Amino acid sequence: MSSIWDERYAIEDYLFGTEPNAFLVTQRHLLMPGASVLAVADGEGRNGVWLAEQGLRVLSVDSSVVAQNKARALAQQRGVALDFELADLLQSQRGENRFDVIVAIFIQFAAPEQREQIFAKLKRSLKPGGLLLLQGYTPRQLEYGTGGPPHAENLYTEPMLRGAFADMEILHLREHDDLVSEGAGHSGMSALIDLVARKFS
Amino acid sequence: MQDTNPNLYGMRPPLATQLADLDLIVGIDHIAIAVENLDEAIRWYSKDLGFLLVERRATKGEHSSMVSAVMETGPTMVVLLQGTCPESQISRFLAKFGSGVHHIAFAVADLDEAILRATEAGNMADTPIIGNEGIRQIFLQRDPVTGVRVELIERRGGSFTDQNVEHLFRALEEKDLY
Repeated sequence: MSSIWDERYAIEDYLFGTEPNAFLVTQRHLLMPGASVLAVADGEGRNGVWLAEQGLRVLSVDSSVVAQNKARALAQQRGVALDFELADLLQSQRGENRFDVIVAIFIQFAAPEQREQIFAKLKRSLKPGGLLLLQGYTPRQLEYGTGGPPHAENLYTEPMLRGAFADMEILHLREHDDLVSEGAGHSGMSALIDLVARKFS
Repeated sequence: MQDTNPNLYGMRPPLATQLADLDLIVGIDHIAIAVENLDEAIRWYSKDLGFLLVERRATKGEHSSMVSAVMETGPTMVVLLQGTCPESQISRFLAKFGSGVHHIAFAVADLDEAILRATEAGNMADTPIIGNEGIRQIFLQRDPVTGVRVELIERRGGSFTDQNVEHLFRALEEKDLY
């Protein structure tokens, strides 16, 4: 089934590049080799492949077959193995207490109601003590226009994330402006927010 | 079928007993708890009891409001309620009773039948039936025997919606109830 994302990814280049997200790399110290990690909306695999390179057992999930084919090619090129699943984030069931880490980088295609459902699914599928690494844009990103959805309600604020993850231990939550260089899709000065939260055990 | 009329001692059995005996109640849908501080309550239920926060919402009535959180662990659901102004029915409940169970929602298979039985037994509703195809809810008057407000809820695949919660909140607000 072709989607708007298949169309966006149907270019020769990697839309969001082949290097991992910078925030994810800064959290490398939290990523233990052998840990199971779910990379949601992993697209062309830049983050999932990097996680596999760090020795984690990766399940890379995305709804675009075009993106996932590019992710497979990237994994092969880098000589790492990871599992792939073609699935819609809202529709798929990930089970409970399954992953040590969940990586959710720029998954702001979801409107507030869907977002709440997605967050609940992610929390359920984390093992007790498991970590959620999330990065997104804040509403000021609309002024930069350097990536992300054009809908303010899809973007994150610190109070919103603090409220949404009040049932987890928030280890790190920070809004900051930084230069992002992730292919043509995310490029330029950006208004970002980073979250690291641990599910209570 | 159990006689739901006042018994020899002039006492009516509690509503839950009456409905359970009639096989109308199929389980507890959720327990709603009035709290002073929603975030602290969310933290306690998650950190100490392993619940997860699955929904948060802000609900406005005509002249008062509340915030709430749906917490789940497995099939068990607790809804935490906090008033956001002194006039809020939740704040007034807290002022009168302190933190604690605001209502118990019993899951019923057939809401219309359950309401009929409840009202036949003298338990009147405080709200109209509120809902849509997927979920229908009603608040009964606070049970005079146990002092607990009972909600009856029939789910056909539906979840709470902002609209449902607001309608229930406004229905109690209109009657100046808490």
